[in-house]
Amino acid sequence: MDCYRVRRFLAGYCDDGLSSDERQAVRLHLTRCRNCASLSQQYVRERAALRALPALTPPEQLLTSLRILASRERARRQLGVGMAGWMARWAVPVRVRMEALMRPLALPVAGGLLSAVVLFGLVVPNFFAPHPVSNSADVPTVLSSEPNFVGLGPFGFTVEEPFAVDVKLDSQGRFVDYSLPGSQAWTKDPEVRRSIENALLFTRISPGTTFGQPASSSIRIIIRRSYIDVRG
Amino acid sequence: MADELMDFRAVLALEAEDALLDQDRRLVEGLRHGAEWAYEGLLERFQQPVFNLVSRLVWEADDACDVVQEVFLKIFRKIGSFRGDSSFKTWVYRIAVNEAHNHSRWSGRHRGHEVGLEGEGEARDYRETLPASGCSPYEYALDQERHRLVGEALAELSPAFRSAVVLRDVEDLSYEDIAEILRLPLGTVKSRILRGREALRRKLEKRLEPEPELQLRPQLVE
Repeated sequence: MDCYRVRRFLAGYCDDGLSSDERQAVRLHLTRCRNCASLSQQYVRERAALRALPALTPPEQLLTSLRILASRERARRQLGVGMAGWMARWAVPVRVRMEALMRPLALPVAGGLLSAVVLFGLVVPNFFAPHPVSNSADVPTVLSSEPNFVGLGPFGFTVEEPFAVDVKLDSQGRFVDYSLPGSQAWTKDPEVRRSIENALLFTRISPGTTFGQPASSSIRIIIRRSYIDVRG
Repeated sequence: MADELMDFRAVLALEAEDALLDQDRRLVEGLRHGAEWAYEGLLERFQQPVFNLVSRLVWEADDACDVVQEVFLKIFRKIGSFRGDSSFKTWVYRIAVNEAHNHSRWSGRHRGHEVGLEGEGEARDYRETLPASGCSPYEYALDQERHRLVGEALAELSPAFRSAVVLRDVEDLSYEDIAEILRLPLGTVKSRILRGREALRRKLEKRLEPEPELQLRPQLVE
């Protein structure tokens, strides 16, 4: 092996970077060539210098930073990875901030809400008139009241289908006039009209009032075979 | 007798390697489950070697600290992707070398635009953190000077050669481990180491020559 080839292998001769054949050939050459042997010594010294480089000690600040990093990453891993972990990580600071924001407001808001409910419950019912109680002897004190149907006269009708009668009353609740809304044929029948008039003559109706005094009024009575429906 | 001693040592080395692999396996499992002892164990085992390796590749103490933090952050976050195809140490070293290279590339593009907050005189070098060796002040100064020269020569190598030489000659890893760390074929790794050593030898040729011995010549006083 000549010097040119040997020098290509010399860098690997100082450790196990050569095959056994190459190593043998280089070793043989070095025993005969002083220049290559000197070069080989340079590689040996270089490698020794590299291996003698001292192990570097990390500064304390780095060790502290690494511990903080490890602690943070461990907490992150315990919360989980992926979308759930991401949301869990965000939920903690959001909850803390919301608590910090809401805590000073909690008592005033709760007190205010409670006061509002109590006041609302006490004051609002006074804004509405009480509902009239049916069949009561009390005289309504509101501006006006509707006439009240008491009972139908003891006469039957020949009309089979339900029908309505608009009745006009005087201040005594007596029947003054009537009309039959609708355009059915039987409304023109004198026989039917007579039976209706007889019934209305004996129908008892308490008159409507204005400022507590009886007054003339009108009422619509719907008559069916089974029952009577009255609309004021 | 000598052969028996060699066999005994080989058995001990194999047992130690198995124990280390088993320890690594438990460490990885612990990290995956977020065990506190695993995080402690990882830092205890790798913070010094990783800092040492990164410091040789980056060569700026402050930058090395930043890169080491990046390395451990990646280890913590990517531990789930460690499949065990290589040893855990190889995987950690691969991350460290990649981060150091990334930082060197980034640093090469942006370093000129940065302005340090500290004055030049206040900058702390990694050499200040070296432990006291216990040798004489002269030897200590000589060692320091030699280390400085070697370090400067190493820093002048291209990153590809530097990482190969550092992993082989400083970290004392095998060629196979270096090939796994750098993800290169074995032949390429050998070639890079040889060429890196050759480049380093040229830079150190005159700096590390042995000093000529002191020669005293007696002369007659006229």
